[in-house]
Amino acid sequence: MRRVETGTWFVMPAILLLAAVTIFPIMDVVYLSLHRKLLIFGISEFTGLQNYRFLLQDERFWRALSNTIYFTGLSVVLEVVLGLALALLMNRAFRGKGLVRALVLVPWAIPTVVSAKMWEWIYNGDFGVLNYLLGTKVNWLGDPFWALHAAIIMDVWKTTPFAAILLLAGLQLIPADLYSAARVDGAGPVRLFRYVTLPLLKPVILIVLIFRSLDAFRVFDAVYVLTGGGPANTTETLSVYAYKVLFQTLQIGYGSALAVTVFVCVGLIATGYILLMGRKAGLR
Amino acid sequence: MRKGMLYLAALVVVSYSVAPLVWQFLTSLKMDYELTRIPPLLPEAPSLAHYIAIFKGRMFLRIIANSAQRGKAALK
Repeated sequence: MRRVETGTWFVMPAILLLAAVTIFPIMDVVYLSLHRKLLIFGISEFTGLQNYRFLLQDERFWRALSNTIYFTGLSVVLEVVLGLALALLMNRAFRGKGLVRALVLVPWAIPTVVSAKMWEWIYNGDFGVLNYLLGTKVNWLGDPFWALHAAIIMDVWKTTPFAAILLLAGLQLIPADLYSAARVDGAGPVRLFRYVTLPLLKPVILIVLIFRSLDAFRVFDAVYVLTGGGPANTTETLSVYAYKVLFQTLQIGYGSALAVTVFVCVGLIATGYILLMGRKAGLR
Repeated sequence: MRKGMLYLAALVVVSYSVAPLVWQFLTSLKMDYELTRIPPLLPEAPSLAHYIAIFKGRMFLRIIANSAQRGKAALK
């Protein structure tokens, strides 16, 4: 009992530091979101939930929210499926496996801003290599339908290696005996995957889903550099919208309300996954 | 036969991962007037002019030093 108390004191400095660098800024944003602020006129008045009321009527917000959900859903599903395929491949024994593993990580190693610029040039409607290779004449980043999908493709290209590495680690934890036993029982490759690999990989898959959903929901740099939210706000995600409102039009109060909304959404996603994991995978 | 499939899959995966970077590298060797030209895919007269320009720029050393500082801090 006393030892626990002593321990608490030892942890206090860390807790205080965390409070200063994470909890305080979060509270400050919440506080700002309850105000109407005009920096150049020095106006700062308390308006209660006015910003949030406006948010509910703001079509651009709903647009950004649906873009974000679409981006998150599609990119995360693709990343997990492709990542699993990559992991299964890299788990096989063949010559040059080490080289393949290293090269597959290349997209993950490039900074997001650099790969966004790179893809912007690849997607270029007039001189882009993508149109040349496909023999098409599509303005990938200027077309309201394609622009968001172009951003998703770039994100999938960039982040699949991350999913693949985590899943590969999970695959290597599965004891080989289980496969031998299942084979003795007459299981083919499909059944081995369905009844041995998938169930045992489930906790890792859930972890990948959590990491990627939270990251994808807050996506900023990839979209901001690739399209800047255009054309006609069709690729604008919540973070990009919040950034524009906060730092370009300097509506500190409303921008903070948007930021708080992103925070709450991410919190809800995380809570949902944790509940799901706690129940289904027996993880806690 | 099965080994062949495995290598084919590995080849597809690796080219998918590396192709955009290779394209960026090829582009870096092109002269400015070639950037708005496609085909050809390969640079007509590969040139290191852009790389030389990087090192001639006054800011480059500063930028590298800043990145190194950042890396040092991250390692601590």
